[in-house]
Amino acid sequence: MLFQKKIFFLSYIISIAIGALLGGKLSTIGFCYVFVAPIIQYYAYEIKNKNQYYYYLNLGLNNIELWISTFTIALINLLILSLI
Amino acid sequence: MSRLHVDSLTKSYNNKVILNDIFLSCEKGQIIGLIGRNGSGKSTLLKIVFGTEKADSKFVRIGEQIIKNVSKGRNLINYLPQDNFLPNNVKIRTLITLFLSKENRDILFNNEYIIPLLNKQNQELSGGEKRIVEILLIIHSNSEYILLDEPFNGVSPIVKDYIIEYILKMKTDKGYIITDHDYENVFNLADSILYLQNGYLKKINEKRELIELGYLTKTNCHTANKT
Repeated sequence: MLFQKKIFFLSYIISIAIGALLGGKLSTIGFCYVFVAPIIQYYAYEIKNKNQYYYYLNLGLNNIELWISTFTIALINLLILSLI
Repeated sequence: MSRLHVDSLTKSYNNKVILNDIFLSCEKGQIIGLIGRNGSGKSTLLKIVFGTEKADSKFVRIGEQIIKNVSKGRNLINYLPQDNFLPNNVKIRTLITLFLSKENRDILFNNEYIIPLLNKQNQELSGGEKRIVEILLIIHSNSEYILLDEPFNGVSPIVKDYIIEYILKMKTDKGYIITDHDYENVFNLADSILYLQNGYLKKINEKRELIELGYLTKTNCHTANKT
């Protein structure tokens, strides 16, 4: 939850901005999020604050699970926005 | 008893063997001190045991559980890295709440060093304050074995003494493997000392062996004895 919070809000703001430029459809924003969220995770955790992974690793999560959580949230978000 | 057992651990970089067929064993209530020169592979060894670094070969087991990766070590091994690892923009109170069980978080909420920091965010803390929060978080986690990689980085002498006493007080419940560049800290804490050199671990019984191994000079050793 804490891990995703950092990614979610920033990714959403960027996705809305890009989505608005591309026509403003909700499904477009959802598509943007699928691409933006992994980039934000890569920047925030793999480049800028790599050591912060250890907080989550010490809770028993591994890198793969954290990446899967980001993609899962992105796909659920896309599904919801496509259905609205 | 669930002993930590590390066997056949080998790691090489660019055809240079850093860790060569390492054997290591630790039980609850024991503190093992790991010392060695810069670049000898101490941190790499701890990361491999924790599961974040790949080895050429390794066998890590706690009790009956074989630890192949971080997930397998959940509630069994925790690792304190050299550098600060707490997420920014989150209050220390929240980080403690998410990390620890209720019983253990109350201990930290009532700790004299933690109380003034509870409502601050990680980035507002000094390096030493961050370190004490991290050490206490890791020590009070549910894990049976704790790997501490240079825990005294950036910590003032009075806090260092507090941490040493704290670990000694807490040692009955867990097993510890600790590295530090200041070998005196490790000697003060550890029940047994292992010296890592050229990929091999050697058990150290007396400080003078460290002179023979080229880790200390006679001057270092005498100065330390005087203090």
